[in-house]
Amino acid sequence: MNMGAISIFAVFVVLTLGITYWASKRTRSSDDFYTAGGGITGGQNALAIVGDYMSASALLGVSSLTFFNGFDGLLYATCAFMGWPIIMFLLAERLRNLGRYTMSDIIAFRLDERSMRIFSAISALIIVLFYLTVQMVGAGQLIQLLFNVEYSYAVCGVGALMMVYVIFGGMIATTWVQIIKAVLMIFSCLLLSFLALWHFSFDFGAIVSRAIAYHQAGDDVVGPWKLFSNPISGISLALALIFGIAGLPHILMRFFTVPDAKAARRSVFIATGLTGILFISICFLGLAAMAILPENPAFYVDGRVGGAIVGGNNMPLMHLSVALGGNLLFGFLSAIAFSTILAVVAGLTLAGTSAIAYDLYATVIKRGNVTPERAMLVNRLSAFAIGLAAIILGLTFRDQNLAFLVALAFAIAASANFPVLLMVLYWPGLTTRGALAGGICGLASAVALVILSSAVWVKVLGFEQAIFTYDYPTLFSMPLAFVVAYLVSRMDTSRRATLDRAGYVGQEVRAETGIGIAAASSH
Amino acid sequence: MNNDIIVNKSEYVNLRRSRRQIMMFCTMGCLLPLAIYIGIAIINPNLLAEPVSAGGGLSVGMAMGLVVFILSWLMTGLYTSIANNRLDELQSRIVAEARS
Repeated sequence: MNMGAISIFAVFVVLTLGITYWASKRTRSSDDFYTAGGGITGGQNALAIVGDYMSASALLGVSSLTFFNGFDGLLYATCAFMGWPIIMFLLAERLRNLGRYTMSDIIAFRLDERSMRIFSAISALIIVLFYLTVQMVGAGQLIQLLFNVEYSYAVCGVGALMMVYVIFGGMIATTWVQIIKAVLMIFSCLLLSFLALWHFSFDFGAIVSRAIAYHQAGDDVVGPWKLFSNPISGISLALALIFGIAGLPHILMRFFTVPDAKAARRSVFIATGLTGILFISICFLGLAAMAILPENPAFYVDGRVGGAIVGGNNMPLMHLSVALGGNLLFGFLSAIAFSTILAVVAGLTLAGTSAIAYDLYATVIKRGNVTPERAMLVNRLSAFAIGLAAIILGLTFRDQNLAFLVALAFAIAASANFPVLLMVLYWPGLTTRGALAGGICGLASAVALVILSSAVWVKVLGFEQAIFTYDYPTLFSMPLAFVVAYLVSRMDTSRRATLDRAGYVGQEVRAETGIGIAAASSH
Repeated sequence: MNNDIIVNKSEYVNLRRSRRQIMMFCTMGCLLPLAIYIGIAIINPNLLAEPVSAGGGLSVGMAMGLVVFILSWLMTGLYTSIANNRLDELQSRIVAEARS
């Protein structure tokens, strides 16, 4: 047991529970619950975006990718980073001007409300549940390893904490958990980077040459290696990373928490800068781990330097913290990894809750005829249900390698949500039938291709050979969604289609000028 | 005021066109450098592994990666500044006229 880790983590839990108590008194309506009443500033939202997006797999996974595959880590990070500028230019302001609580608001703005909401809520729920499962399993494994707590207790503990945050504190508590986590993460990455540089007397050349000397691939690690060795798979992954972010429901939801389009812009501008700094320093830390870990055989299984890492593939960054700052720094980083998981699962839970309680229950089933008290009750019950589902999924998929689920969540976001969102905003010709056909094709083909790829077909189902020979589906599923949505819309002669096309002008005026937003901005 | 009237106003046409232009410029300003970067990684990976200068540690790939990061962030800054100044001014004029 590491006392440093436990005390730092205890401080984090007490602080966030205190914030949740404070937030619970301010969470009276669905506005408060889903958007913190629109009262989050651009700067706060920027930090919360970073806290929402930079998951444990970004922190531990990208540093580990760099540790094992060198330069590939930077290529991956560059693609994962590029989603932010894209969100900024194509979506952020429009989301703010057109939406209220969820991305379904935008998709259903001029298209048929009920069918589009059902589609978009289901797609959001699939993404949220896949993502949550990975996070919960990762959380259980990590906490077991770092704090020596039994896996099932760890999963239940994480689930219980996130339920408390969301059920009582809604978006206000979730935002502040994410802000605190983002600040801790940025601080620790910069501190570790500084210590790593100091370790080599600020000589970057020495770090690289040492990393090359220790690595089995030698000189090759400073250039592209495995990630794009199969260009189709590589480009497919890049597309999922770049455009997937723009279809992730918990990320898009953050843009409804700011008061106006200006604040939305400001928050992406700051968040992009911070995400960039984090990704670069995480890659640098992976490089530093390449140069430093081999100095100490204790970090390797059976002391065999260059072999398997103690604690599994995600551990290089944790070992680096021991090498640079001993047990105290290790404890600090463990606490941050834990807080990272909590911040991400809280955001996911809130996004899943909005799909059930707001899209499906309040809008589709009750057609908007819900009293505020009843709406809040259903919000809280849905958050409880999502939390419970996350715990059950986490316990069910214990000890399974679920990395493909993250790739799948991004692929669905890029192939189902993003094409529909982009076309509804920029192509007047899109109709309800076209959007549904395109979105469903994108979703189904992404899922089908992942099942037929080696990650599931061979590694999970045990067949000899994969039917789909590439690792990632997005290069095929995303264009398919666009093409199907275009063709079906073109051929659509229904009465609804006329309404859909006619609605574009009103949607565009509101997207461009903000005229008609319920809570008027300062203009 | 009716949407159809707003749509035909010169300010609105101007706002819409300016936003599309700056949007396309910034999006391409981010995606093209990334596409070139990935393209080189696929076609000529050895080029990215070359050191920028002997003994400095920095490879061409790392340097280009940093440039892509910084360039994209500058693009978001450019978009923000143009939107905050020029586009928001056009927008508030349209809103003011729509109210009157």
